[in-house]
Amino acid sequence: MTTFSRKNAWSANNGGQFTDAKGGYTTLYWYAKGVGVLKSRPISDPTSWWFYAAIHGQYLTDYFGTGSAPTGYPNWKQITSIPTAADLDSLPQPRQMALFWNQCQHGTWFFPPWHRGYLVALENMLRGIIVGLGGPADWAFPYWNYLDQSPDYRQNYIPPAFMLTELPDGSPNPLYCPERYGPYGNPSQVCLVVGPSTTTSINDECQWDTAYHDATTPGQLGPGNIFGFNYGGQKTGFSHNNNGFGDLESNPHNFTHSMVGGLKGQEWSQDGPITFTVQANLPWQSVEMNIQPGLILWIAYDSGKWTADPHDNAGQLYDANGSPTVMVPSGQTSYPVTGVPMGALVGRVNGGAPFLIEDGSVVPNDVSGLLELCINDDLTGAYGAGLTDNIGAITVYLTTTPTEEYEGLMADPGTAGLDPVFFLHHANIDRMWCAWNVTGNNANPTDPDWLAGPAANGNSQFAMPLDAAGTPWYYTPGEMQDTMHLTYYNGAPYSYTYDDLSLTSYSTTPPPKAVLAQRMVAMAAAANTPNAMAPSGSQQEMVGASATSIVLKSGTTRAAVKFDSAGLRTVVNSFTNPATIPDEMYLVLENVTGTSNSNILSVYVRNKFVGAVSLFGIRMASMKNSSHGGSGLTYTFNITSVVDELNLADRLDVAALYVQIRTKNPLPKGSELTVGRISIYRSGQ
Amino acid sequence: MKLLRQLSGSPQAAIISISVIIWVILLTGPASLGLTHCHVSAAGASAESLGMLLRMNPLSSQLVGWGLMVLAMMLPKLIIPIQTIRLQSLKRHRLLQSLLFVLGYLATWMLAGIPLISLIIASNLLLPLSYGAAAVAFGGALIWQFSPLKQRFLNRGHEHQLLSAFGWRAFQDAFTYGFRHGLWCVGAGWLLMLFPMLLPEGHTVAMLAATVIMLSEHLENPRFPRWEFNPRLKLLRYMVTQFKIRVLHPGFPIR
Repeated sequence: MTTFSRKNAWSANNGGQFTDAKGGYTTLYWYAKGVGVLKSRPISDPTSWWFYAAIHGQYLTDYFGTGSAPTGYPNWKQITSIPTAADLDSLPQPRQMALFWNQCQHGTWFFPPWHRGYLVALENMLRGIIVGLGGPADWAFPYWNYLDQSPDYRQNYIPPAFMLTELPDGSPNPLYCPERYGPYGNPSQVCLVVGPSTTTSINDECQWDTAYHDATTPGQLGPGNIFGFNYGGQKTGFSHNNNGFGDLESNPHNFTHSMVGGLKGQEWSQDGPITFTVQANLPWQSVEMNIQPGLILWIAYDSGKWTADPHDNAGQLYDANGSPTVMVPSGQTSYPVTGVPMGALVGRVNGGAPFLIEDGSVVPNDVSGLLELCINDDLTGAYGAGLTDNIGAITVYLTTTPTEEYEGLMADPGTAGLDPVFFLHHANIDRMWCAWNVTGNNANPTDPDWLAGPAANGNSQFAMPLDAAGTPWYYTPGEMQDTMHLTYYNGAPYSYTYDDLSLTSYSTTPPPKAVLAQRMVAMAAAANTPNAMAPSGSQQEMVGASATSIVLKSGTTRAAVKFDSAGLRTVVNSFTNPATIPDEMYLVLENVTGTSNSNILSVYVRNKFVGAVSLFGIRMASMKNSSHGGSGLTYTFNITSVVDELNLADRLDVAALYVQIRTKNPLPKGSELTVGRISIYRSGQ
Repeated sequence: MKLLRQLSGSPQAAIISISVIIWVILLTGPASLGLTHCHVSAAGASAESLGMLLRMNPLSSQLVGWGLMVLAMMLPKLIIPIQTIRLQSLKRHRLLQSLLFVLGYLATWMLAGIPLISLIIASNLLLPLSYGAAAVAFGGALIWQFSPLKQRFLNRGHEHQLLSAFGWRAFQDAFTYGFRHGLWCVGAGWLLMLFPMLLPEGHTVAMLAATVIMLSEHLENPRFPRWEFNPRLKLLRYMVTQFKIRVLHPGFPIR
């Protein structure tokens, strides 16, 4: 039996090219040729590119809740890069659509194995076509390891072969996808922002997880949890819950989708973005732009640093978000805006009421007049040096907000499979899971409910079409556990591996959270109490919450999360009593609904960054009749270190924590993002 | 009190226990709770017949019987929303908010019970000891079963309402969540509940069957609402597969 080898799309393909150093064709070239053949088939053919993309998710039929397909975006008929050959008007047989379409498994512990089978089925089909075209008999998917730090190539960029409009022979490049806008809204810069999880970036810290899942249903928050529900996701029972993201799925998977897809920047502005530099030592500075009622103008921080007090923040300058340590007291009205960070960017229209901008905001459009900007400082010197000791300047750009049709295909599960880079991204996610097993020596679940797949709970089996007649290959997670010993159609063995099974490519040292989790495992083992790692419902408790239905605006939204006094006492006790293990504390954004898939939310508690999440999949999860029941998605952040810092500073005894949520992109016109509730949970021992 | 503590600690076990106890009461307790005395009038529909019927089956006891039947049949279905409520609530309020949810849910069914019981009484007066009314209800239930409207109600039943955390709003939200959840449930299952009540005999078996059908259909994932034949056998599929993977081939993936 052949063991196929999946290789790096950059380094094993002459820097992501179609031809190698000797002029021969690379794996990427043959991938393009194979994709070209699949794209030439109509959607009614189960072996077409369009049918396979719809297996992941689609917006052609059954637009949840409305009774029909959407007339505008994201209906596939509005996607101009889909050729007429796809013949979207002639849909496949209803039984084929019912069996195969909309299968993608997200927010569940089936996320890794379902996608593995999806790739195996397509890889086999492509290999058959490629061999028929004269390509290599051992062809296998290349993978895009955007986290690879080798100095030869900047691998966080999409391999160049995906950016070309033509193949070497001058024919159209099937890998090219114009609806791919990248993290900056710039189609020529399709890349990923790589960094630790203390920033809004992708990384592979998840590889340091040691548990695949939390065995309890509904899943509990627990010490083994870095971002979400351990490595592979939350145990999924009868129904698909809305908060079961595993760490692998949260980051890098979801972030990669949002960043590669992105929101097309040029279209945000009527005449292109306008930049403007705001000086720290000057009062109101006119942008010389007239705001008209109804105009939606987005101001976003671009670059530069400043300070409103050189003695603050240990002398370090900061950005448009202002001082991380000083909030303006409510009585000091010489500041334009009180109760917010000193040194933040603020604005006003026609000399009216100032509003907070920080790193991004929409200008209030109920009045007309000149827009002015300045630093949030003691403008008149009423309380000291005022503006005279200020240092630095920041630059902002101003654009009108976009519409949803400018969101990239990769950003939404219902369109992601249309972009050929999807499969290189998922080959990398699959490689990471393989490395986590093989190199990290971590085990997959042995629970029969996982091994047997969704069928164990009465749900549909995983199924992939193998031929034009739609012959199904059914598979289970148990059959997808080990890439060297997979079970393919009719029980046939299938085997592949990767040319790089390093546990991590970027996060070479465990994040502090993983260190803590490992320490607690060791403590539990030393005390011979293995169950200490498995918190029960009674050990987990909600101790604080905001009001319900918080509507997010473009830029920063603030909300108070009120503590329950009894719950807070328990928390304080756990942090101050040396005989107890401190509680793990979680901030949870519950039932987030909306349509802005490419957006990334950054969350701050008392101006301290606690984490970021990609909203990949938010549109589908917010639809009334979807498997999420319209409840949207729920995101969890571990805030134990923030609470610990407050405790050490003797500031934990507070009535409420102030939380800021920032959107990376402006919200498209007509697009709302709502957080059902912001809650704080403790998980104790 | 012990039971209440159990409900507070392990809602699943407590809910199923309470449901079983109510089933036992319904099956072995006073017959009036099960509405088995309904078929008394051989003299046709008249004010006297109605009076006699109501004397033998006072409306109050019929409503109690109806409420008990709803609880017996529907409590297991409430495990998932109650789990959600418990996660969202302050620890000291979990039990009370869960009870308020059940109360809100029951309130919807009791309100629905008034016209439905009236219908049952009317059928007993007009068609005593006849299967005609039950047959009509069965036919209606079959049509309703595969209608898009029914699917819409089932889909709405999957909505998870977020509750306020503090103050009286927290309790009000728990009650209204139960009431709304009840509305979707009544919408989906009113004909299935009516059918067993109209049977001159064998209505206990029919009730058990309706319970299984309703539990199973509420476990199904939301689907696009349209006319379609969909037996919604998720519970059966679940039981068969669990038997396979845990008893026949423990630990092995199934085909």
